[in-house]
Amino acid sequence: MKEIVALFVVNAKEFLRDRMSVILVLLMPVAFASFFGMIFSGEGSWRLELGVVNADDGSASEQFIQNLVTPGLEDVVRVKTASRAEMEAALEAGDVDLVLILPEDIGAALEMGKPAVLEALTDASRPESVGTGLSLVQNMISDANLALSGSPRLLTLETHTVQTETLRMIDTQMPGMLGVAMLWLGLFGTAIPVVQQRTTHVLRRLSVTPLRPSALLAAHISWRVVLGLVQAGVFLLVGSLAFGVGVQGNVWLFTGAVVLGALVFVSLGYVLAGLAPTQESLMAITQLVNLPMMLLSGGLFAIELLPGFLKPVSSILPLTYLTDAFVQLMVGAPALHPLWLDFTVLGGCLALFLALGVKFWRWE
Amino acid sequence: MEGAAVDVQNLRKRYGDVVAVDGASFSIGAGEVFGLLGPNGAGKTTTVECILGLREPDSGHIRVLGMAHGVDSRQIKARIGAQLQDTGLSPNLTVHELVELFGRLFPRALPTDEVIALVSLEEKARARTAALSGGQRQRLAVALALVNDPDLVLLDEPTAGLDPQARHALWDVIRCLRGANKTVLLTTHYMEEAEQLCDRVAVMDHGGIIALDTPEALINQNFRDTAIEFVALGEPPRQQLAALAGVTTTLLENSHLTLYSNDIPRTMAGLFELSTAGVLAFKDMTVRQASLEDVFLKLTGRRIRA
Repeated sequence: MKEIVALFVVNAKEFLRDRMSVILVLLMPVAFASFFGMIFSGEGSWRLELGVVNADDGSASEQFIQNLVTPGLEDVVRVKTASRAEMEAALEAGDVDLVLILPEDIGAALEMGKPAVLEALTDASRPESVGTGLSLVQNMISDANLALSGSPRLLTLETHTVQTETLRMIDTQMPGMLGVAMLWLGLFGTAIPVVQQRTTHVLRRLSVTPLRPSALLAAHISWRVVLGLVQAGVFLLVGSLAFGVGVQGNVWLFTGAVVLGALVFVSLGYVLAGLAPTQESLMAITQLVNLPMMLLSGGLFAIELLPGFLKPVSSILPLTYLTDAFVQLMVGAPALHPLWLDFTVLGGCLALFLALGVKFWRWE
Repeated sequence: MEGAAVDVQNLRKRYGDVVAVDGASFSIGAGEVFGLLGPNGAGKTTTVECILGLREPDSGHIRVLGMAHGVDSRQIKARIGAQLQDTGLSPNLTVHELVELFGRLFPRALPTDEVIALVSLEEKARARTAALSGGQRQRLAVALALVNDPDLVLLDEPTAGLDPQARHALWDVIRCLRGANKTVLLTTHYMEEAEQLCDRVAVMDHGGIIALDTPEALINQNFRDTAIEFVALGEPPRQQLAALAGVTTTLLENSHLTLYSNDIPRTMAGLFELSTAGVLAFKDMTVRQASLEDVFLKLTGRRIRA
């Protein structure tokens, strides 16, 4: 037992003193998730930047612009006014999504009830904002038409979302990257240092002491499980402070998922370390495992978005099940599988990887 | 040998087509400093690795401290200390941390500071191993071999690649071990090291032991003569050289000649006569007492470090 404690402490010291592995294993995943979170944050909403060019100078057209945004859409549409030349430049630069041009005679038309034609300028290179923007503007203009014609508004539409909170990008990014963090703990935090210790004969030296391999593995693995828990803590800290992402489900189940995930991928690390004869071949094998797992297990990209032929691949990746468990437990998002199935698959993977890891273990 | 610390009988080990050890037998008595001397590739390291239990012999018997590997591996490992060739030292740990860690791996260990003092690394105790010089690394590797106060210490080329000062510092450590009555198995390809440190020396070549005795006896059995070495310029007249007064043996490797003589003045006079007559031209002449180097040269026809 004292040798396990001693090796655990030494493992922790070695890890914390190796700046590269601290960055790669501990900080990269959360930085990655935060980066995506920042890019796609803004409460997950989209806003129409509407530019208005007023060619008329009467008070009626000023009035029209002030009342242009239908009540209820104030959060979604922001109106700016400027000259036509300025607005064209702003549209090109992407500062406004759509430009509405009020003709010279609009004031007279509004006062006398004569028809007038409004012009809209769009940027065809951004079809998504053009489509949504145009329909919003259409709506606002029909509302204005109704108001001008003096007829009462008989029908209004109230919208309610079924989910209390809409899922933002960051809501799937945080659990997804936490899963990737567990994977990296196994690849960069286990397989690479183990092969390094083997090629530099550190393991060989240990093998001529009475140390049992099981004690060495127990120390290595328990340190890495602690590291996995620390990592989950960092995710929750950053997630809850910066993005309001915490654990909505059962905290103990979440902790269990972290421990199980760390165990699965650390054991996978031992399997890979046993298979790779050299540091170079390990790098190749690592990427072979890392890329499909990262891209296809639902953490970075939703599985529904994958092309059909890749979906079966995603269903055989252990990370898919860990990510699924994390997504359910952290943000309460709809799941691919029930939790018990995720845990069962991960437990099976752990048993398999442990058996293979011991089978392929080499001191030198 | 009864009560031997190490007993090796007919050890054979091959790697594929290469025979590394070919029927080596020897015994090391308790408290003895025993040297395995031979060039690189002679089979010294494989022999040590078989004694350590790192490799399984193809055939032959090994008993270590009266025990056999496979049955008593962990008990054996608990009582031996090993310094391997290029010992892996975790770069991010300090000397103190590493010695302390190894202490924890054994059922019984010496105090960490004591072990560090044994190899005179006190000043580097708080330094990371990555910051150590080659000599300091070797001394640390030896320290790790001493941490469990072992009955048997195996040192595989402890001074290889070290400068003379670092080598002499390690020799002092090994002399200390002899003083503490430890059994030591030392491999080396430095003749001088074997002569200085070892009670008995086994000369290994091509996987076999070709001579085994005390260094003095090995030299006396083979030579009572003085060696004259020189480099011949052009084809040396071998027969005339062998016929010189006092010459007992001549050895030629490439243009490097060694004459062993029991009558130095007359042999030298003869050499200068040949030189004056223009039969022999030479450079770099040295005259010295015969050493283990000469034993190896005589037994194998080669120098240990070609």
